[in-house]
Amino acid sequence: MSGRVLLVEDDADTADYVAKGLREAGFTVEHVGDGRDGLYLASSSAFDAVIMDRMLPGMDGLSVVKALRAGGVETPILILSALAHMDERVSGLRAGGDDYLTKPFGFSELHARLENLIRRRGGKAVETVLRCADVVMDLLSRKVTRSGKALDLLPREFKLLEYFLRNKDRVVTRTMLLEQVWDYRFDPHTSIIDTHISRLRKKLDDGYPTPLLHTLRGVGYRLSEAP
Amino acid sequence: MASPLGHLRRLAPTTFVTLAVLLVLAASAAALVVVYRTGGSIITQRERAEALAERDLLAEVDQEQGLATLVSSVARRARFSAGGERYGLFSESGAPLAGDLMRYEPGFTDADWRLVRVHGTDPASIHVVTTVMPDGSRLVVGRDRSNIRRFERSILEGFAAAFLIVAVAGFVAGYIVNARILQRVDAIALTAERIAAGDLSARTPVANPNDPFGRVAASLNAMLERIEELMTGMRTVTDSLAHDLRSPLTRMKGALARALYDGATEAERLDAIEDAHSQVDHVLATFSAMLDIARAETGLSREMMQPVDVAALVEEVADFFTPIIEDAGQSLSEDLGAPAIALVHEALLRQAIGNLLHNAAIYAGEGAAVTVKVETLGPSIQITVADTGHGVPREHRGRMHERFVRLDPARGTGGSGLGLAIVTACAKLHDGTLSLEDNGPGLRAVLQISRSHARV
Repeated sequence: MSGRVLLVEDDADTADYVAKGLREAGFTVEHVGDGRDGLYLASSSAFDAVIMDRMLPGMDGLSVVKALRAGGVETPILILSALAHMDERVSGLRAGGDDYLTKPFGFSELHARLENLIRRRGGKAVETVLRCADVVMDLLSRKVTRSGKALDLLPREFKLLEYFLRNKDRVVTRTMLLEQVWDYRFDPHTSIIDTHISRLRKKLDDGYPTPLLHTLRGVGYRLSEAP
Repeated sequence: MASPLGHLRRLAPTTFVTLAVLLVLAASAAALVVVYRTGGSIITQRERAEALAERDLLAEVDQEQGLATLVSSVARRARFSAGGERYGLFSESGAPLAGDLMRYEPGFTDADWRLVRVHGTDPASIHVVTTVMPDGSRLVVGRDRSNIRRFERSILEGFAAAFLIVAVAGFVAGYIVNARILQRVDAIALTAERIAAGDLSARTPVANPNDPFGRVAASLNAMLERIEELMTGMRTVTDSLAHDLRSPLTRMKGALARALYDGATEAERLDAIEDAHSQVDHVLATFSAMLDIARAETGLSREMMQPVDVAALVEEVADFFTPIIEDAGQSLSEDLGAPAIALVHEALLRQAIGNLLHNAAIYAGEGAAVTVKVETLGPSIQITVADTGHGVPREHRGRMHERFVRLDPARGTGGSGLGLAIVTACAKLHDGTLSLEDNGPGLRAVLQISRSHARV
């Protein structure tokens, strides 16, 4: 995936780490270390996404986000923060951020979320049918078929598969699933997500030659035709 | 308090007591001025009435018995005067005929209780009444100011005595009150000093909880109780935190050592790194749980509260946990009832209910039936998570709320030991309670939260 990303982060080490990773992943990265510069750049030039730290010199990240949203800038914003309280996430999203990631974070987590944000904005059209390979999900009748055969999914499994289909071919991390599918902030026993996945996988992939739901070691999952 | 002199100085009445004594003195002085003025005018009025009566009497003597008798009458009265009476009888030309006033002063003419300065051997100011007799002679009846002077003197003496009494009594009372106050303040100060010296168990004796000092001592003791509780809690937490972080960090170190080992295959390395990664997650999760508990306990999260349907929230969380409860060989049933709207901290409540369900999945054992129930009971909402599993012995139930307590270390499941502490903190934030009861068999956790959040 490619795109133009604005990184507003004052900590040089974090900024280098993120910018290097994003460039390797094919993004063009503009980096500023000051809140005011970030506000100026984000409002004067078009970006596909903004990564915004919370604690910034000049102007704090949340104020920049509020100012951008008040000014009608709709670029997706991912807020980075060392503040890990569950309250902080809510206040970050209330200010107008689209996603919130707590430091320390792994680059794969950031990358997955960023792609998710950019793609979410692209796919504004209302879809009623989602597809991946021979899987077809009809959002109106709430029915799923694979190779024409109906899959009998529970509502929670339907919700999970819908999220995967919307993020087809992209990495989805455990915390993304926790936060975005179940609105659950933190799970000290991450095995619960694995349990949900293995149940879905059993209904989705058992008895079919090509598995679609893949586990990526230490990162998360991906729904795709390619292994 | 070292020397007796120092002790005495400490006892000296405070500025406040001194001020009170001065105020009392000023008030009595003002009262005395009022008494002096009214008393003085009463005396003058009386003297005037007497002088007029005397004049009338003497005028009658003159009329009925003639000037000669008047002269002797006046002379006799002047001789026997005792209460400051003054008399003078003058011929038409002003020559003295009788009495002790020897000179006719110009001010005597037509005087009707006028203050006139008389000269001569005994100069003084006197009040006089003057009458002209039919034969032209002039009768002057007067009163000097000796009565007023006597009255003034007694007023002054009275004032001095009152001053003395008030001052002495005031300062003595001041000393006594001070001594009593100091005694009790010292008791409180002594407690504070013992606390400062490190003895957290020090408490102030409460003689009478209804008097002001009793009130102070009682609330001080309550505060100390709470502080000691928090300090002990904090100590337990830091001790357990140190202990709890040691094991994931040790495992992480081991995993990294495995990854660094020269002979390791690529797959072994990845395994080791993934292991280390999950240990880091564990440590981070422990930290964020600690932060959430701390925030909830101090009430900082209050501003995040919003109205939420608790029944719907419980349903979602129960749905989320169903797979692991089923995987544990248990069944989950829900009794949610009508929507139950309350002002809640959604994320924390979600976490709390999740922790209760997760506990059931881990500890209730295979075959247990787990039920989750939401009821609206007057001003509160009650969320019950009950199981029919092994239960918890009564003597351990009290300890379960604490941080880092795992009742059966042998069954360590990798949890942080913070699960129920989060639920307790959640209950506290919502002005509610968490109670753990015997479900006969099994454990019943009842989380009660206030519906209308009173404290905002």
